[in-house]
Amino acid sequence: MKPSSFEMYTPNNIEDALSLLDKHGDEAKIITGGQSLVPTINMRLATPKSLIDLNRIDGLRYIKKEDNKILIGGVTRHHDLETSSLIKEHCPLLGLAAGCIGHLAIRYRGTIGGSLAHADPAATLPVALLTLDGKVKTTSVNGVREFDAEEFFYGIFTTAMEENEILTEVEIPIVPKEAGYSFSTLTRIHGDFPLLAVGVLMEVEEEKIVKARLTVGGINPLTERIVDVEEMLIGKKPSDELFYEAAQSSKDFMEPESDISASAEYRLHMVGVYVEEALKNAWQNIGKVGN
Amino acid sequence: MQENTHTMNITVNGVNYEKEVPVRKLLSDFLREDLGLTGTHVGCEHGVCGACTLFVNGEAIRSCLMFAIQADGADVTTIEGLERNGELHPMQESFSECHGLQCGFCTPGMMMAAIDFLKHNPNPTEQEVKEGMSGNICRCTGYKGIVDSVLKAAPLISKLETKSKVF
Amino acid sequence: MSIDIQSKPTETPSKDKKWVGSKLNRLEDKRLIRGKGNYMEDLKPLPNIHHAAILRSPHGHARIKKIDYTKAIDIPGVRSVLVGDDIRDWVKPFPVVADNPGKYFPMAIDKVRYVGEPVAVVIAENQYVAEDALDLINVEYEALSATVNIEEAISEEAPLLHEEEGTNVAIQRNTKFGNVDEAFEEADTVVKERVVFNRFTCMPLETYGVIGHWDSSNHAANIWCNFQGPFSMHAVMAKALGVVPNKLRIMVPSDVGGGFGIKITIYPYSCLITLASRKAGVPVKWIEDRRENLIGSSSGTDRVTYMEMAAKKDGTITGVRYKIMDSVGAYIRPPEPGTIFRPYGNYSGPYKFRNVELDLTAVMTNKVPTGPNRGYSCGQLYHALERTVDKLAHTLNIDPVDLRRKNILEPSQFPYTTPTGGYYDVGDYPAVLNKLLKSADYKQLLKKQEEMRKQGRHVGIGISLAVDPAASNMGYMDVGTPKDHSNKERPKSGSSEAATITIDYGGGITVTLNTAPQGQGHETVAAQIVADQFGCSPYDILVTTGSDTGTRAWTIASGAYSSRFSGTAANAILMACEGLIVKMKKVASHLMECSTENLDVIDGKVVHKEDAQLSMSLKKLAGIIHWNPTILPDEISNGLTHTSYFSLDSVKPVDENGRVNSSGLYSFAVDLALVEIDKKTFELNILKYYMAHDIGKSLNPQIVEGQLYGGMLHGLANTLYEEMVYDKNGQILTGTLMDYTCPTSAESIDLEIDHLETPSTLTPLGARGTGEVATMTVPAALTNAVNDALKPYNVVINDLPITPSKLFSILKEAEK
Repeated sequence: MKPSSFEMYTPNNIEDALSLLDKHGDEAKIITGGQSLVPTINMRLATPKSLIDLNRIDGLRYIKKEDNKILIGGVTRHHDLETSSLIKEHCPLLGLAAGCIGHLAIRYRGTIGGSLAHADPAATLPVALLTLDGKVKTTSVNGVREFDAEEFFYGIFTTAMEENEILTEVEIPIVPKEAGYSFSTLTRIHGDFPLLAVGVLMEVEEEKIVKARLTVGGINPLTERIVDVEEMLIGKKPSDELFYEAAQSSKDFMEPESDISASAEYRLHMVGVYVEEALKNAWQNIGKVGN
Repeated sequence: MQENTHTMNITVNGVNYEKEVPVRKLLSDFLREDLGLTGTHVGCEHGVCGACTLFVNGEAIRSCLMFAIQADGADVTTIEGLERNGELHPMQESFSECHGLQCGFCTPGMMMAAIDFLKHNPNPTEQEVKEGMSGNICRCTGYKGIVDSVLKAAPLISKLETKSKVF
Repeated sequence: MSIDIQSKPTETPSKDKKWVGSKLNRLEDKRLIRGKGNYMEDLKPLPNIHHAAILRSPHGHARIKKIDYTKAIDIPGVRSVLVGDDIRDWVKPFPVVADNPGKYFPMAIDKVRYVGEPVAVVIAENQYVAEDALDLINVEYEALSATVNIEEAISEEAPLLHEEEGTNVAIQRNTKFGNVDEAFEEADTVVKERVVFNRFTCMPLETYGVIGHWDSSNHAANIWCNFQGPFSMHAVMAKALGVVPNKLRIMVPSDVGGGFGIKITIYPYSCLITLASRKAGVPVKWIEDRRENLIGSSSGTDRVTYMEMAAKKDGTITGVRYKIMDSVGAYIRPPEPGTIFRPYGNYSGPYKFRNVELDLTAVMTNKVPTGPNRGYSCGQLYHALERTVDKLAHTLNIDPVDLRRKNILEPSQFPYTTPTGGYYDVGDYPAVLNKLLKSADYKQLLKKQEEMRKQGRHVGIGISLAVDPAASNMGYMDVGTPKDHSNKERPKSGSSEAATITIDYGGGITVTLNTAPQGQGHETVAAQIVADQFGCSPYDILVTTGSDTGTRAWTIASGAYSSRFSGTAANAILMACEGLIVKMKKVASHLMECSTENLDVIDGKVVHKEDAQLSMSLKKLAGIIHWNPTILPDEISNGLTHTSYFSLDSVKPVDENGRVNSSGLYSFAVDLALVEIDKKTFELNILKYYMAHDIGKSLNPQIVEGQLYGGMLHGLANTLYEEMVYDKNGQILTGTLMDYTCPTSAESIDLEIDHLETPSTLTPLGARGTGEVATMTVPAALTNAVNDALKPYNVVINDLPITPSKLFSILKEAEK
């Protein structure tokens, strides 16, 4: 299980990286953490002619606060997200989602840009991005483009990105302290790829839900928010009954398939269990952002 | 087909090497074949088993998921580098005392992961060890000896003077 | 801070305490914790070693029309390509004990019969280039329909894997012991059960590794590989490769990264790589990758068992009918069909019943060929037997423990010969059961379960018993010899092992074994035994393990499999010590001018029994023997090397009634599990797990505990997590560790372990086997516990693995 031959480029700045990418087009692949890419290269499921390694570019690995946004560089590691105090304070759900990825050794290397651009339907960061209403910035020799999370993901391993683009920045709006949140995954064994990932963000004013964002990943080919269920929650008083109903309704938007890990019916059942639990947790978490 | 190579500079267990390396060569293969450091074991080459775990710039990573030339300029510590001045690392001692190994194949990666885990959680509970060590597969011990070893090593490592810590 | 682990044993035996039986830290660890092990991939024993990559079949079943490797051979660095046509004249099929086995060669010749079957081997200067060449080999296949399901493969309509055989059934035997039919006719109750055992694999962390060197000048093969024995496979390999036995040299390095049975079946690859060397004219190295390991190595059999159990009203079991069907994969590869014969002597388990019918079938399917997998076929056996015992208890409304108590062998019945020929030397099974029940506080546990059930929780208690066979009889396969082939001329028997001990001129002791261990601590236990005999420190003893059939003493049975070290090699080591001690006493008696009968060996000295002042150190004696041999009397030979062979006498050939004592030693184990099915997630929580064993004398309790935990993990893996899944075309869906999910430290469980030590009467040290027993009890105990939890809902689950998804379906069905 050894890779086929390729050339490796290690640009020191983003401009060089972009022109290399532009020059090599679909024959090149960007490598950052390599935690999903290298296994496919080792198995020769991917045989890129060139790899462009972004790890030596200064200025792509950062987490910073600007106005009411958290800005994250594309080569920021999962472990950075998991341990960042800024993220803990302003969008802790993202840190939780990053902490659910594999194991420490994977989180040291894996990057937010790599994960989002890879768009694995079972990945946790797309769920977090959608739930947190984040934005993605991509850069090419032609300039910068910005996508809302909803516009970015197209389906299994496909996004709005062009071949000559690099995912350079992720933007997450600061979550108000009054919000509640939850993130959870279902795995066969500890640290394994999730069968299911659920993200919830909730705001309550005067005992009524005024904002709800709910995303379920790992089931449908395209991870999306369940807007209908969000709308069902808004304006209602939080209660176990409401959350149960919402969770049951979530199942209507899921099209699971059976495979070696679990039957479609079981997955659907677990959507109900996990969404209900996530909504309850978010409700219990209200006002705990940053604590 | 000419093998495409790059020249790289790497420090491994305190020794500096300059080597011409095929671009596609995995870090694990480079250490084993080019430097003769066969203590790093390769168990799956797709990043699941954890046997090839070692430290690159102070972080325990999977060397089968990194190309050697990506470690150009890096400071690498392998299992062979744990023993310092003839003194075993407490993790090594604990693994032997608690029967944390049988065949020994997962052991180097397991110990590296354990040292890294304790860096983040120097005083873990048994349950935390079980979860924290779940990235490395062992088929011999049923993990009992491993969990015991990590629990035993934790206070010993905390007591080490900073300068004698590996990381 | 520095602790030299060599001088710091967990327990230091005093004068009246022996090293054997102590928790000595392992000698092996010294190198292994430093990353200085010596594994197959680390070896470079010859110059100019080339590397092999294997092209494997993407089809479950297909005819090979054409192979074109012209482009592959043109790549710089590629030396040669080996294909099926090359080996036609070089090899014979591996010899098999079966009626319709088909022909099994190291690689496909005309047809491929499973995904992953070797089709071509590239030999190149390095692994990367070898794999580049694989991509350029063009194979034209004609796809054929496949058969993967056991019961379908037996049917007339099934596609035939080996057309010349006219059937997919490789071997089928039906034998009755006692008066089975009468027992069933007269029974008050007959229960029937169908149980399904999953196909799963050992997955050692180290994969197969081979260096094959064909020595054309001598028509000889020198092979380094991480083989685990039995060295009876040496005969299988020699026959296939067409070499005389002394021209086949197998070498195993001192460190092997786990085996659990799979490294018994490495030998077709050892042959394949040697054939690659023959074609390429250079030594060839092959290190299997993990994908190859998961699709193309070996696994345990998947099995369907139809059980019938006859009993009296009071719960006395009077007879059992087993109808066993094992899927052995695309070829029947020795030691298969051992899967149906290995526990021949203990098909009645720990129970008293004398009437047994065995209907045993090995079926070929388009899956990877099977082989031993920790507990070889006993996980399957006890899963079926113990499920049925529970069903009987349920049917008769008797507590499962009471039912077992009624039926298990009494101490007075030992030594006991089972209806199928097994010989259990000694034991007190009820005492072991009682010990477990006491630890678990069984009555309290039942009450607790009742309370939890009242709270609406799905809680179950499961128990399983197993007689664990160890030290396989080399003759058990003869029960499968075709009936028209009389095996009387060349019967086989025995479970033997060899050990050589040398004392050098400085008194240093070296033990040389051929046991090829994979982590079982042979070096440590050997040193413990020798240290006790010579009164020295185990840390001063050098033990060489691994294997070398060219230079060491070995036997047909040699190796580390069937939990045999403690009952075989340990005894050979003891005997070799005794041989040397006899000699040293003779020399001492000559020098000290006294009778050997007046001499003892104490604390590294030969001491006069009546005058402790009169003594000579072993070191001094060794020095004299080596440096000054002319002063020795003529009847004492030079040198201080002794080789001993030990074989268990109780393992005889198959008798005239078709019975066989299939293993030399039998341990006894009882497990009890308390489990809960989560009502929301349907995940299984193992709340408590108890074990009680009688493994005879425990030579090193720390190693024993490690073996029990390790065995538990394999049992847990196959009961809850692991399965090799094939689709109907024979495509494997679990070809990477991303799909084949192995339990981690987070899934592992804690055990409460009890022991009752009844020393075996058959071995000088009193030890039996221990390495596999937990794989036999865990699947049965957990399945029984889950079914006990499901009991209020009147549903059962008898097919493994038990996943949350399956439990969900079953309970949802029950709700309807």
